[in-house]
Amino acid sequence: MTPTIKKTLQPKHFYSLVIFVFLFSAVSFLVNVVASVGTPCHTVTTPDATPSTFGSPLNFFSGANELLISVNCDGSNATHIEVGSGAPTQYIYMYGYRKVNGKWTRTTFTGSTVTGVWIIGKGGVTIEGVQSGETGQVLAYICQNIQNTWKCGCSDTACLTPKWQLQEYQLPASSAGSTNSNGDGILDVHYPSKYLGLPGDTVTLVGSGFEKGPVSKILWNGEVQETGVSSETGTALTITIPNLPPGKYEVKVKEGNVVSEYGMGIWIGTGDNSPAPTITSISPESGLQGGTFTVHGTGFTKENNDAITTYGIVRGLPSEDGKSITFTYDPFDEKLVSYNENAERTEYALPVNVTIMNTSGQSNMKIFNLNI
Amino acid sequence: MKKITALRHLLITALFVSCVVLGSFVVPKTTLALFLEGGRSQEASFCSCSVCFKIEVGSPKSGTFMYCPWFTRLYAHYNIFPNAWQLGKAYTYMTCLQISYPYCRTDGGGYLLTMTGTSHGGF
Repeated sequence: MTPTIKKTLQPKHFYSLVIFVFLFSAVSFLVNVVASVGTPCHTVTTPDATPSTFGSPLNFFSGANELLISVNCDGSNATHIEVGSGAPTQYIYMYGYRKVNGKWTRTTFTGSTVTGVWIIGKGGVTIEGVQSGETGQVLAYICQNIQNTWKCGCSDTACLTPKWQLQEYQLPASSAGSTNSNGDGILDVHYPSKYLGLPGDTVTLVGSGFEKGPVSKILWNGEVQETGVSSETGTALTITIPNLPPGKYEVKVKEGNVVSEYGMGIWIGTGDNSPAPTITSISPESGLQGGTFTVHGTGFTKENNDAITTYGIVRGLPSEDGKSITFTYDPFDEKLVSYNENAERTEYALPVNVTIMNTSGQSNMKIFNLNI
Repeated sequence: MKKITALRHLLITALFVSCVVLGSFVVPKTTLALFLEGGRSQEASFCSCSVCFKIEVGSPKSGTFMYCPWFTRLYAHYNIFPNAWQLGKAYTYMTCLQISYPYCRTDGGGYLLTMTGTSHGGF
């Protein structure tokens, strides 16, 4: 009798496989973490985003338009520039240029495979970082062998005129924020915990620069209504709504001689249990910029209703019947006209969100469209 | 026998974690970049060919952002214009295209907001 050999996966093989995959992924993870310093911060990612005097940082010959010049920002400390996508048919001129705030400086890329003044596949360099608000620029010159023809410094697939290829970069907003944060420095009120209350109610003001001692004064329409207010965190201040007539007030914080620049509107209610405003419809549902629109609903006050919209506040609106508010809507400095990417005129219905706020509360939201 | 089962569970968990870690590298990193927006809206300008508004937002999470009504989800209190406080998320850089007849030209750009909520917007 001939013995048969069963080719099954033995438990010890399974465990070995799992351990191998785990170790491999752990090593991959560590390699990746070490290699990927910073956050992508390049800003030129489409063919049309490059000025005509420069070539594009995109690869027009791969079918994917991937970036040939990419930038990672490590906060404002360092900038890592990578040139080339690693293909052996790509030759990168080892000298490039970088410009930060007006000054071009030559820079040298390095890579693992170099022949003469050309780096094959992929090169890179780490340079100083940019500050928040600055735009950095880098130039590189990349040649690709496409079907035995060299294509260098391309702006498109025809690649008739070789040019230095440009990439630009800025600190991402998240990094930028970490470098220019107000912290506790600038006295500013951002927004309140609620926009409507009755005398005696407390409201928390969220902001920055509040003193931690009991030194803050609260101004309601420019008049000090509360003193000795203290913040535990420097970013929140709990105040009490003063005994003032119902209406809308501009609230600011004063510390020493400094008054917060921006005021916020807080409403003191009537306390008569009037129902909050409700919007049932807006007519017309769409119209032109500068046109007249009517908000229909209930709970509107005879005077001083605010329409809070996507593009600003329309203030102090009357409502004779308590059921409709009419206003002209033209919040823009210019007449808006829309086009498609080919510069062809296309009409677009720009949505405008609207809520109504008054001494009874804030309404639901409805939308009308501006045809632009 | 219990020891072997526990070991098997441990190893299967390790395999699952490995797959998640490895899978995260398959997704292009640039698409994962997510930026926080948080500050006072300082300036808004219309990009006529991309039908978006380019918004300058101040600190603490400052930057230039693109509010595109056809893409950005807007939350209460719905005001993106200057003096309103913004708090949102953005990803990927987007150019602001302006009409310069007969072409559309690039006029800077910013990070495309996926969602943003706002304050009322001043007094």
